[in-house]
Amino acid sequence: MSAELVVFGILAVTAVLGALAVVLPPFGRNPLHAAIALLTTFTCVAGLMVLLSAHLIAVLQVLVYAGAVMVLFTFIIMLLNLRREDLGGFRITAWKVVGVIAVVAVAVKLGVLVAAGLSAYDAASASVVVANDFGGVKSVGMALLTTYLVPFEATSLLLLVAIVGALVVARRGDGGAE
Amino acid sequence: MSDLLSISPMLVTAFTGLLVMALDLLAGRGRKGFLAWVTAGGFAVAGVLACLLWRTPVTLAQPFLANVFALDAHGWFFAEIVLLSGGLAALLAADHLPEQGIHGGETYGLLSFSVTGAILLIVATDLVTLFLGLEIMSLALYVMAASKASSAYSAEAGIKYFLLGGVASAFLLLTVAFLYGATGHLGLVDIARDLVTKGSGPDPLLVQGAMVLLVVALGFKVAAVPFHFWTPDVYEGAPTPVTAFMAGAVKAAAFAVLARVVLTLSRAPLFVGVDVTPGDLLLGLSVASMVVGNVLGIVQTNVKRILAYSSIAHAGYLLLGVWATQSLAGTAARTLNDAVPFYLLTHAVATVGAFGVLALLGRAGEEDMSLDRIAGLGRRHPGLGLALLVSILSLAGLPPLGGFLAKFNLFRQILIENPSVGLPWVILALLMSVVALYYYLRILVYVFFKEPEGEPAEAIHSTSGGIALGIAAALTLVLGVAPGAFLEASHTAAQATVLAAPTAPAVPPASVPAVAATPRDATPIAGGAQAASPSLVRPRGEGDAIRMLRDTRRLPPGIDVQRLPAPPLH
Repeated sequence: MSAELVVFGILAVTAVLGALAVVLPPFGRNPLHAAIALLTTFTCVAGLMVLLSAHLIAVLQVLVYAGAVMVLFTFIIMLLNLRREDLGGFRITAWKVVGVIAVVAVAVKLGVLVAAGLSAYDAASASVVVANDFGGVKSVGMALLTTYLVPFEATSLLLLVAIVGALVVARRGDGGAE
Repeated sequence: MSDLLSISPMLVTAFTGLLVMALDLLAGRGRKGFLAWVTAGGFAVAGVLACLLWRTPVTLAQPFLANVFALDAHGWFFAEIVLLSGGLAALLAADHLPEQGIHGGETYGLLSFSVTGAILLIVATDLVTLFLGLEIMSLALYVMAASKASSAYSAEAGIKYFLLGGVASAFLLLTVAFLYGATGHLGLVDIARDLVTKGSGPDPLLVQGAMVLLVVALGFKVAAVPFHFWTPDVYEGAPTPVTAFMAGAVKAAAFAVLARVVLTLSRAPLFVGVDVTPGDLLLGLSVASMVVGNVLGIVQTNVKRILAYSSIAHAGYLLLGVWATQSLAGTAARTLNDAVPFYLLTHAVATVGAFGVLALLGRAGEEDMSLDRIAGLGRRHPGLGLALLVSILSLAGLPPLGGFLAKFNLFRQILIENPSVGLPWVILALLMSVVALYYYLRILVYVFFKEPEGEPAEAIHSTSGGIALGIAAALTLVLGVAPGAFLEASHTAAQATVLAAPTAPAVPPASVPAVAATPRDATPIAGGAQAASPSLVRPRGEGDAIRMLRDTRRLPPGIDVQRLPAPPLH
């Protein structure tokens, strides 16, 4: 077992645990704790990108997600100024029980299926081929502006819609007056 | 240059959005009505361009365009449905929005962007472009649904649609990730070719999971049971012209992409040795939607909610149509049922007409559209009553209107192509159509034969809205009595649904080398893999054991049928 595999294992498990902690109690009960758990996941994903030598993507992951997006989340949570009683108590409802049973059932079946798939999986022949400058500035830039030009431009339209939408929704309070 | 012309309908709608938002700044308060005409005009230009492009085969010279768009009959047909619904919704909004206290002009800009996103979604063959198109369309819709500042219902509609839609988008994103993980491609054509020649990779679970998640994500967008919980609340709470657009255009776009992706990928033997196939999923959703939509529609008293349940029920009939594939131009390959595009067209026109009448009712922020309040509408406003009559009868599927022909044609096609397997489900659909008659005719009884108890809903005077209703009603009639050209177009659209045969020359691979699919399955599996493109409909009476025996030869090596446990979905 190589060192890379060990690091990968640690990062991957931590990322999944962090993601679970975002939604599950006890961390998921408190928005700020959930945000911190999300930060853990973001950082671990950035680490995974480093393992793939995708430096640009790793840096962007830290700058944009762990940096800007997290700061925004934290600001909003603090602006909302939720108190403990606003969050409501933890109640076990029939729907939650059904949901937990469904999740466990699907998880068990998926686990069995994945195990079956893994036993048939030959790690030696499943070589991973990644180009030398994979995830670097040049290759990402080339891909964005040649192969993926249309999705790139469509993203700008998506962002425009998001900005206009945020303004429309945020203006609700004054009854549409200008 | 010719490439720009080829994608001009999308460019025109996008620029219409930008133009409308710029004009919105110049127009004074209370004088935003002309923006509706600008928007509808932009859509009309885009529609004419799409018609012209439809007649001439489009080849895109630039690879970055050719790899992500399929500008064929399928794309243009559904794009026309979206443009038509969008244009009519804009005209209906012109006088509805100020009356409801929405004075800004952003709705028209967002509508244009939503239409652009829907067309991108329809013509995309690249999964990332497809996802972005869906997001542009949906994001604009969430905001439009929540745009009525004074209404708690509108806020509820926006939040509900946004949260549930976000989850559906996450499912679609997982579909993309799984398919990319399994094949290393993002283009549908490449993925289908890989799956046919190499099997479903080392872990068939990835591809199978991707297909299931895709059906869930798009099942949400088309409002199929059990992913329908948002539909009545959102349809009721959103401003009515927005609801009209949602029920007409979004459903058409979602069905277009559902049919294309599922049928294209179904060419490969993805579900060998598994009990539940995408076809079974579609059939299950279809039956549930038909039953739940029609039965729950009976107990509703709000007209917008009745129409929402009607929309769910129609999603059920349409899913049955997608499930019942037909042979492609006499070959063994299967493609979309001829009747489905035509059905979506008639449904869009009729549903926009029905919601359009409701949009022209209700003064000064009134939003209660219960049956009692529209009672006697036919006598007070004969024009609105007539438009509602035509639309509702078409939705109910009564002759001589478009809805009747669409339904008749759909059931006939299902029976011709899948005689014995399709029969029980067609009978169920017919029974459910009879159930639906109850709530459709109930609306008409209130409109024409009852006197209002209390304050009736007042009509808004609206020239543009009247024109839109006239177009919708006339088109509904034309689709019923002179459908020749539309049926022909529907046939060509359906024949083009399944993307180019996977044996076609490869599209150049992406410049970023992907994590390669494992080489263990690189050699084509002997026998069978190329031979058949299985239909979604499973032959009747074929037991699991027989199917497993039949399918064993297509299994990737190393996976033993007998050892595979039952799949998670039942």
